[in-house]
Amino acid sequence: MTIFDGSVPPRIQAIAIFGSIALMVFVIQLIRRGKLKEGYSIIWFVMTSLMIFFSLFTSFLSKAARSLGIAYVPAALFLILIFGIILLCIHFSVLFSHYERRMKELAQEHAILKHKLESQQN
Amino acid sequence: MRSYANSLVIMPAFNEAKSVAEVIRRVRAACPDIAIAVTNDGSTDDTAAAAKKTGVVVLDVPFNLGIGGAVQTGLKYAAQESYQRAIEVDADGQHNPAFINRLIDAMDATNADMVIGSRFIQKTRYKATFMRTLGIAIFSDLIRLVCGKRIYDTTSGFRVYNTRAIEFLARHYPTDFPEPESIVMLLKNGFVIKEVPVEMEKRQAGVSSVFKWRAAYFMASISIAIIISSLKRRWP
Repeated sequence: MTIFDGSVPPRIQAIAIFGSIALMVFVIQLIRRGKLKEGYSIIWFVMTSLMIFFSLFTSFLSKAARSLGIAYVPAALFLILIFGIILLCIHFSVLFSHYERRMKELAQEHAILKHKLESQQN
Repeated sequence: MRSYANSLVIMPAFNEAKSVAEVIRRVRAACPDIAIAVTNDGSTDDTAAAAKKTGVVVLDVPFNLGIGGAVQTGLKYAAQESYQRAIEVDADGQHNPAFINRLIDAMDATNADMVIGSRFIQKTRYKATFMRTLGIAIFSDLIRLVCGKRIYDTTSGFRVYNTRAIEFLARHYPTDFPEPESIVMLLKNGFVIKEVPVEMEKRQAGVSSVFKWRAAYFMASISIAIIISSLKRRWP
């Protein structure tokens, strides 16, 4: 059994490296085409960099997994990923709430100004 | 004769073209010369035109904000125009404008910042469905639990606000389940709320925002919203 010796199988490592680099290239492409604002790209850079780091230097991952009591090391990668994704989702909910509020305020201000403009014209 | 010079009736309207003019007529019959601002909340029918024909102020929101956003538009207008009293009346005809004076009397006679026209203080003709009665009891208990005060009709949108409440709510008005949430917000921030018995009527036209099959879902959501809004930080 090579799976439970506390290391990351080479095939999984290769997939992880390739996957995280592809993700980072995708993010860079989005920024270059102006589809992703630089401000929001930071969080993605941090996430993809972390993923590349952990897939290159699996010994860190092994240590982290061992200290958490996780036998199958790639499972630690999933744990980190899921945690990151949940944080991102909450981050987006906060952003949506923020924009919803701003949009509402714009709409209300628009309605009041429209009324004032129309009553001036008459 | 009472002067309504400092009072504004706020009337949120979403697809109420059939009833809005009649409700405005009845408000004017009860309170002559009172200023009225209809918020046309992204209606797809002729609500705005029907309201404009009567000469009231029409605040045309570019898309549907929901009842909370619509009421707040009126409150913002009231704050900007320095009205000292705002009276929220639905455009669907379920609030009888004849009771507006009773709400204002209660505000003048007490130190209340908001007066709610309540269906449940006394026995009235209002007949609610079982689910609605249950929901209303639960919300009332929940609000007492989190705020320490008994409000009987937590979902009534027939209300009078004073300057302090107008200015506060123009800045922070809940949008998801505004009636019970605004009660929690006001109580938590030290405002005084009073209730006055009124009779409400079956809506003249339009459809209730709470459909029967969604009642249970709404009850759960509103209960959670009451608890969560009570956890909110106090506003400056």
